[in-house]
Amino acid sequence: MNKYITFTLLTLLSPAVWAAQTEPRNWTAIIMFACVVGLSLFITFKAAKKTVSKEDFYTAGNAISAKQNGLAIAGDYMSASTLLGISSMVFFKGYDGFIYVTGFFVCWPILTFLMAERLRNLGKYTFADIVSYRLDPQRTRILATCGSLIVVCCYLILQMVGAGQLIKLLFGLDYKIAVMLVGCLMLVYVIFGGMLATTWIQIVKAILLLFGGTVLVFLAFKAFGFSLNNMAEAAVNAHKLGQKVLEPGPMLSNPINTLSMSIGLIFGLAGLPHILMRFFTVPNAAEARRSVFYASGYIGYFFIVVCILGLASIAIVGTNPQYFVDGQLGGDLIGGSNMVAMHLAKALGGNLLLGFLSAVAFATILAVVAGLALAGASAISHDLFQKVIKKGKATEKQEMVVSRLSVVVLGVIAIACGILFEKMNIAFLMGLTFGIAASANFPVLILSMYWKDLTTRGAIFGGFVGIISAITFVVLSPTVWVGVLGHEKAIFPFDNPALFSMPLAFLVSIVVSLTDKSERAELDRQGFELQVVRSELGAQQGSFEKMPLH
Amino acid sequence: MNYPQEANIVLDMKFKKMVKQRNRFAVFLSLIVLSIYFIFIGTATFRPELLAMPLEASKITIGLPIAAIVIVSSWVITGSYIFITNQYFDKQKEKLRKEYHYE
Repeated sequence: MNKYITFTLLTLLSPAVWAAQTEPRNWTAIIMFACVVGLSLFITFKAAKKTVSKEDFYTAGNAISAKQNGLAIAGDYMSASTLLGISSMVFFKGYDGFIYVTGFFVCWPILTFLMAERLRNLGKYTFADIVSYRLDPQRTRILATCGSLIVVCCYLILQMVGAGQLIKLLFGLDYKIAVMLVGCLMLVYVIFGGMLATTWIQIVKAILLLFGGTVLVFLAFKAFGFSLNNMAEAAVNAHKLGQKVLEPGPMLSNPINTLSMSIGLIFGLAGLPHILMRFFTVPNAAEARRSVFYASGYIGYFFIVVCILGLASIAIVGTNPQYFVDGQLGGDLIGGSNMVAMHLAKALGGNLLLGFLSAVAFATILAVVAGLALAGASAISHDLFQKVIKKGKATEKQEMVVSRLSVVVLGVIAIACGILFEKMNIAFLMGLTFGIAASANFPVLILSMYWKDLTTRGAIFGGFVGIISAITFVVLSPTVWVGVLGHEKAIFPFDNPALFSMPLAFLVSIVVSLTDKSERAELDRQGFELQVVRSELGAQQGSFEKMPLH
Repeated sequence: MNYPQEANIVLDMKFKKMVKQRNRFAVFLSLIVLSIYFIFIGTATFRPELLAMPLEASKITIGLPIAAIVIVSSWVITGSYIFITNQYFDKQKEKLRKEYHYE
């Protein structure tokens, strides 16, 4: 194992160093980048020794504590695009960025109240375990796998393209090499280290990100004599919007789009497989509940910090011609609009802080991508291969082989699509990710937990209507219909489908379930009460595989 | 049914009551958090001038602390949910588990 990892490290780092020599290089960044890669491979190596069974691979043997899992969940949610995207949103649009952030946050309490414990008590490896607890396992698992894989792939491509562009800028690497580097490192982490490595990389990265953010916000406050008032005043004076920068702005001019986005964000979270899978790594429901509390604390803190950083950068970056193309204040930012936080780091802490933050951003991308790949792989190997194709009769070894193969396939898809979509506007993938999560995974999951009358047929119809309608709405939306396909006017006027596709999925599920008179439906309804016992009191020891009605 | 323990627990009034209370409690807190958020978004959309009011004699608008309060308060509500669940519901569940030897 050690041999493989050293070999991979060498092959991965050599093109990096080689390419860096042909571009302007930032040595501090490259050294820190090497440290991050080295540290993550060390963690993978350690984890690989402990990853023996499939429990270890999928859920780190349920041995993660609430505090650790809290950091890991926070890490999954705080992607590089959160740091860079939100700070630049505040930089350009001011207060609208603050409003956007709150939507990203309030999903957490809802997830805690309605789902955290039940997820842990009913599920073992994937969220499909919960849906198929009393419903027909074959058909519902196919649905859950489709939902998971579409969400995972969209999110993965989104992250890969972002990663390529970011690394190209930060380290002067070629875009294609950057994408391949991220893909290959991710493969190493997941294949060798499984969930344990993925979790620990996520934890380390979350700590680094929180630390980096805190240092930056401290330095930013220091620059304004530790007064938010001074900072706000400087921002108002520097921004072209003037006082309007601290007031609700044009983002909300289309209330229906805003509402649809909010719905997608809030309920989409409860349908993201890589977040849901984190609930299976803790020993019991109480720990699951506690870990979301920790996670949302870190996330809330980080969001507030990032907003303040955005505000500070209006005053600091926005008034320094050094950060603008051709030194033109108010023109294009060097390196693109997402580089605000990086420029701020350079302005406040020089090359050292810039290098540190770049390395953290890179670690962030790697960790999120690894989590996604693992979620996709467990959907394929556990749900599709083990439960649907082999009907639970595959050996543990076969299942592990399939899951590692799926990681490779997902990695190849991610690298290929990452390279293919380099120049494309892929913003629509965000709407699609959260749209499908909110309209396919979430309705089926919540109905199966809380509504007695949900039947297999209802779940299947509702889930697929959710998937198909979310995709259709996104294709007909302005970003794709006009922006990508070049038509003149969008057929569906909103970018976020959730407001329409989610109620549609619920409606179809409910109507189909209520009219379902099949034998299976009878079984599905009967199973509900036993499921409630299990979801409240947890599994009995040694009886996890005991499912009531299959 | 081949699951005598579960079947007995389902019939237990204490269990039924606890599940009902817990569901109500969870839905109640969710509604509080959602209404805080949607009131905030609604105000920003339909009455933006309310959030644009300056705070005392400074440039800071009242909207900045309010956005932070939305985040912090929903976190505090999460904390209170966990506190109450640990203190109250978990103890009831423990009793039920003991009573029915469901461990």
